[in-house]
Amino acid sequence: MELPKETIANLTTSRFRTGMAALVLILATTVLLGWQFEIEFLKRPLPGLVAMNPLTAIGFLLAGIALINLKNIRLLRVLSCLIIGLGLMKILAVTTGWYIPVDTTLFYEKLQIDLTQGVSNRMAPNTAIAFIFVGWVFFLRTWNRTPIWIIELITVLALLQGVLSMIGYGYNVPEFYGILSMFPMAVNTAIGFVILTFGMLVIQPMGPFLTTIMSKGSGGFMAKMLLPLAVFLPIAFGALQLYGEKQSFYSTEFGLMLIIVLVVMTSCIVIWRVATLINEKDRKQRLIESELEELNIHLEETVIKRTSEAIISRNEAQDTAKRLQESEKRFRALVENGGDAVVIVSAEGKPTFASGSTFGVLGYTAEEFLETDFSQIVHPEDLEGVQNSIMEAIDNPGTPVSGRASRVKHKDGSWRWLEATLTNLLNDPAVNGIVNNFRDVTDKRESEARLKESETHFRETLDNMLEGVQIIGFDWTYQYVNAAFTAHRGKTRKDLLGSTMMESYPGIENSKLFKVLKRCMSNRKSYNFENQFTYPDGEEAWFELSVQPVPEGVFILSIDITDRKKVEDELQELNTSLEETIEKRTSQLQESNKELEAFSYSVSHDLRAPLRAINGFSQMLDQQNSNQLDDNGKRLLSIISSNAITMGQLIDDLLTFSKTGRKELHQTEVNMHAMALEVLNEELHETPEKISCVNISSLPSVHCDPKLMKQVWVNLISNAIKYSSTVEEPKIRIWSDVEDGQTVFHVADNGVGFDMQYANKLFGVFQRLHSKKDFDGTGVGLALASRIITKHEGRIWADAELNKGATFHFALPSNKKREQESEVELNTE
Amino acid sequence: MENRIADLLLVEDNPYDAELTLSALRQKNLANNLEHVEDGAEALDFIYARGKFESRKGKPLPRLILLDLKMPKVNGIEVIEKLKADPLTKTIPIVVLTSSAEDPDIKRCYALGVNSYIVKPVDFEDFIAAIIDVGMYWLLLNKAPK
Repeated sequence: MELPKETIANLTTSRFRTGMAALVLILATTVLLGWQFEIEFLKRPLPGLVAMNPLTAIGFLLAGIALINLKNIRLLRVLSCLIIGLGLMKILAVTTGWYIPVDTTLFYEKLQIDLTQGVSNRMAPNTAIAFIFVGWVFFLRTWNRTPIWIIELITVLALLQGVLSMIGYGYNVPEFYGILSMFPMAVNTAIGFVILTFGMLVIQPMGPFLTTIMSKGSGGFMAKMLLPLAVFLPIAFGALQLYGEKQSFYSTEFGLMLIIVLVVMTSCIVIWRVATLINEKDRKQRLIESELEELNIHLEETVIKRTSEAIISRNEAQDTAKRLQESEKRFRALVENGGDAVVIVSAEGKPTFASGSTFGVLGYTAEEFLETDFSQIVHPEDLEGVQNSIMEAIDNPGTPVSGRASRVKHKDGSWRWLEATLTNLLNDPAVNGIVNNFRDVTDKRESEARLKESETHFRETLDNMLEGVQIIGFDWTYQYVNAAFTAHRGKTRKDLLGSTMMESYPGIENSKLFKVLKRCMSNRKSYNFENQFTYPDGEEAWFELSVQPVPEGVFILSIDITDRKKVEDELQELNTSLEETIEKRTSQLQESNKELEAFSYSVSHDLRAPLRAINGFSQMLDQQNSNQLDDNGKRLLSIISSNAITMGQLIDDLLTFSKTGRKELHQTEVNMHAMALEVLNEELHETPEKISCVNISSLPSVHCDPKLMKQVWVNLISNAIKYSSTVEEPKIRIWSDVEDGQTVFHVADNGVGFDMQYANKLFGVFQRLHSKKDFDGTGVGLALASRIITKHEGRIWADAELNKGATFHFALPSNKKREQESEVELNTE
Repeated sequence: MENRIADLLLVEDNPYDAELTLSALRQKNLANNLEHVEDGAEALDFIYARGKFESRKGKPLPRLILLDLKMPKVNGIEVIEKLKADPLTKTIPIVVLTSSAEDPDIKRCYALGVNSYIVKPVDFEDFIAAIIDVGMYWLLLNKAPK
């Protein structure tokens, strides 16, 4: 356990204490010396007075030592016990009457000699008591549990002992310094105790009494001022009174009153003075305080500012430190993990550092690489280049030197193309070497080679194209022109490249081409257009231009379309002439058709008249001159007649046939069923033959020309009736079905049929498969029907069996198809 | 015989056709009062009693005209036009008797207002029948306006 350390503030008290202790020690020592060497002055300051007992001197010695060595607890305890012990023993001796000659042990003989009033110098009992007090205080100081005020109190008691003795000697009142009839305390002992207790009072921690007195405030100030007065004035007044009394200046009562008055007066004066001083002090204090407060505020502000600045700068410093740390980490990581390998080589050419990324580039770990001789792994052909680069780097410190790509052997034996950048940083203390960054560019070289190939390929393609290619930069200069372009232009590639369009072809700003180019340059859109161009030799040509935006500017593809234009023009002319021709032909055809019409008209009309005459007159002859004609004659006449009739029929049929061919189809929805029935009725009505059975199934409507279609029905049905007229029970059946999207109609009879061998002749004009003798007819009917059906883009065919019957079929394409096809034919009517 | 009263006017340029027609009509005794002219001009002269037929002035108009279309000088169409345009003559029944079966002709004639259009058949018998039918109908059966 250690006592509280003494602070610098307590240095004063400490020094004071030490000073007191020293005085005490000196006193004690001198007394002892006096006893030893029998120096009277030292033993007793005034002759006739009691001298300090040697034991007392020893006690003082011990106390002095203790006062100095407050830190050593053990020593303090020992000393305090000794001091208490010697005091206690004396008291015991006094109170119990035992013989304890402790105070006469030392200097026994001398003591015997030195007698005062017949008594040798013994330790006074009050001295012993005082020593007990002193020792007790020292002991309690080692024992921190004791409240300070108790310690102080005891110290003060000890002090009072001394003071009392001193006052007694001063007043010459022996009762003060001697108890009973016991030995009195020597004056130097009393002084010694006063000094000692003064020194003890200021031991830290100080008691409440001392603390208040010693405080710096007004209280302390007052105490410091008043205490001496409070002590000395009464003593002085007392002395005064005693003196006056002794001298019988005044009576005891007077003397007492005097004291009281003096005390009261001086007290009041003192109080007044002190109060004034304190007030003054206070005023000053307040002034200072306010100044201080201002200063404080200012200070606080400054402090706050400084503090925050300090914090900021501290934070900044922390940040900087952190960033620096992170930066270092980052750079380290970059170097270690980057794609480039970083190697630092010393001035002698030995590698001093290799980054972890070296492994990725060359397959060597950093450690392995440091062992490798670089010149061993560089390709012999590239070694010289590498060495030159190194020399260049050395010659240009601080400047990065890029070397050509060189082949270096990877750890696995393969050759890699590396590109390196060397920087001579030998002068940089942080690096102290040549920094070599190198990376694998094998792939890059390959792709560069391929790119070059590709570029060459494209360039060649462009160069050899038949079409002209120009690439114009944004500044209107020719960036590229191919051979096809420069041919016929009167300029070579050299002339054009680098110069602007305006320079090469003055006046081009006015051309349409220029305007289009301008637009393309600004809005980056493509344009296609045809442009006429006059060659330097005056020849005119047409080009189709395709203008495209490209990163370099504008790309113009020009295709020579002069020939095409020529052909187009020719075609145009041809078309025009063709149209003219067509018109001519059409009108010609129309003309000829008209002529044909007229012709057939007159044919029909004019041919019939003579026929009528032939027929009529031969009939008339037969009627009017029948009696002159024999049977043969009559027969001859009938032959003439019938032939004429036949001829008439032929003419009719032919006319109809030719007319049908020229006629336009007026198509509409026709109810075939109704039409067939109508035709059937008409035909049956005309012919006297009775048909025993006619069977018509439901027939659909089709899209066709009704007039012409009726003709077909007439032909087919009349044929069916005609050729089944020879049979017992003629039967006719008509039905339809759908085959392959076409509507097929069938007309079957059970008549004579025909020989399928000659089926292909059925529909020919004037072709008959039966003689006129058997069946009347001109052979035009079926041809007509066939023509009509063909006109409708249908199909007509028949099959039969001799003497069993015949079935005629005709198919018409479905409505949809028919509608899609154009029906306009030349109108010849 | 210019001043003869004629019920029937036959306008036919073809002599053979004319003879046949007459022969047919005679069979039914319809040719008693028949005048035959050979072209449209003469037909008009007859109707209007001029030229050759001046003497016909005041004579009544024929009750039937059998008219061929194809004739020289003035053809049948023109005759029809002329007659139908004239209120005096437009009521005379006209039967076109011609070899032409051409549609436009038929249409035109009807448009002009002919009463009948018959194509001369080549077959004599048919021809006769046709003539007789026509004659019988128009001269005997039909009531002409006065």
